[in-house]
Amino acid sequence: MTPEATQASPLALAALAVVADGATATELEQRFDAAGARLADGTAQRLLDQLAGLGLIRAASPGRFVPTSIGQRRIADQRPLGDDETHRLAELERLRTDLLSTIAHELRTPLTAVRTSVGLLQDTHRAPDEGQRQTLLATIERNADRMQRLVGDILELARFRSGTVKLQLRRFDARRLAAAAAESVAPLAAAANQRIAVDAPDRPVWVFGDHRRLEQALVNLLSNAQKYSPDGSGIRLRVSHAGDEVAWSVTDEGPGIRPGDRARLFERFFVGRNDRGGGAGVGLGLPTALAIAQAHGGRVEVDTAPGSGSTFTLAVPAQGPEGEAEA
Amino acid sequence: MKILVVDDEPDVVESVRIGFTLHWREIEVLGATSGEQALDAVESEHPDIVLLDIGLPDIDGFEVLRRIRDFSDVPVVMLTARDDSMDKVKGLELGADDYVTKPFNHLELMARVRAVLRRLSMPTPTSRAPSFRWLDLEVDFARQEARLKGERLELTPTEYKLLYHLVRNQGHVLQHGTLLAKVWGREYVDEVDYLRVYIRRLRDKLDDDPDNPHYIRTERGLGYRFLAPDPAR
Repeated sequence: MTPEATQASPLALAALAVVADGATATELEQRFDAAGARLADGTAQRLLDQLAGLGLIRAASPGRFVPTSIGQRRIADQRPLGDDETHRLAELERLRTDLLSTIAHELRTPLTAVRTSVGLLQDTHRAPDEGQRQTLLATIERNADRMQRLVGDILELARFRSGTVKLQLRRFDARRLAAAAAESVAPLAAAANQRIAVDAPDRPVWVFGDHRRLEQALVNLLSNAQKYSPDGSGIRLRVSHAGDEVAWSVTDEGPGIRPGDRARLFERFFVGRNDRGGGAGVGLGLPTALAIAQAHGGRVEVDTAPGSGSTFTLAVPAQGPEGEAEA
Repeated sequence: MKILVVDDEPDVVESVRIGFTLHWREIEVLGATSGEQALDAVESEHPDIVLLDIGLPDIDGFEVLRRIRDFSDVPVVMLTARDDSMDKVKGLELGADDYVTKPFNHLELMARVRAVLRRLSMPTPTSRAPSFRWLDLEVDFARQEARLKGERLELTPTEYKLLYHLVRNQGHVLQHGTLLAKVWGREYVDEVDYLRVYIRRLRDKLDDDPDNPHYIRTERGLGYRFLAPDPAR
């Protein structure tokens, strides 16, 4: 997005009102003309681009723009746009566009594997042999799982964001959650000759929380470490208890996180550059882990430097969210 | 016949491999899951055709295509999860031969690959008609070459075919579908983007100022017309 598009001028807002019933750049020019305000060449198109960049209008057909629902509210409000709101709208619009293209890519690739495999299985003309049938069926299952997980993750994150998640709280040992999470990432790590070492106190570390969701959060941190670490490296998972807080820390020997990427880590669908390639993430793991921690009244912290690995810490109150622990 | 499938998703490579193996006799399917692997494979294995995904983890597919074109004319079909026209045009301009959008199934993909191979093996049209001369351009139908101000033009087979049909029908509008069918094949009659890219390439080679073309006129919404020499000249 150009810097220009992040600032809605009073002229752009006047244009928004003009576009209320739908207009092309030429019609916009004509209507300004009729109102006695002549626009310089190219200005009408620039105003339309600016409003589209803010998500206030969209193309209903090539070249013809109509207000979006946000745009309609804005026209009804008749308030000028403040700088903050302009930036927020521009950011939202950028996220929305990124999100759509990422979802499209993330769904279309497994969908291709499924469609191709189903087509081959249905092809009676050149039927695959038994070994090929098994390969194709496994491909379909794996990719259907992948799409299901993706859709599930998107919905789960949306539920957290709308505050409609009901945590299933119970008391459990944080060491066992660490062991379970490590076990579920172990096959992927083993395939890359990586070792996961769990470092925990000898005595139980009790915590009151949603076991399934905290395990999911920790698995997300571990699989990130796995994906961003070189083959043959080690990943350390440390369980600790300090004050009223229980923490799981995941330390990798990866390349670390570049300062520019660090600010965007918890953004949905953000995928860092240092990926190993092949099975790269979708960019939902960290935002989901953070949402789960926050729902518990906890947090996710990052400690990293380029070239020297990263530590992600998931910390929650031992007594559960807002002291909900059983009496 | 050797085919290289480049996609960062091993399941896509594998299912495409099974498809080709079942349908084509004597085919060897090579797989690559990154841009670097793809470039190595094109260089060392000399595949007959490459299926190239745009979304690769290390090097963007367009960049891989550009680097392939530095040293090889192997036919390339781009695979992509994005179905916008900009991507298609970009791929064609960088020298891709065709474009398939995900999700595809194996029959669509194979039909596309066959069409590309058939097109490239089609003989260049030839004619015993005398050479065509107008302004600075000369097209020698017997030798299948074109010269501008006496200098031989470097035309790809597709560019020559397109020029041939335009010149042989000089003064007449050739509709988009007609030109596409003649040059690319009947499956391509709706691919107007392909035509636009290649007309642009021809104009770049024929005209000093391609925005004010002297030879090929656009007939808006219809097709293209090679301007007829004035009979008085």
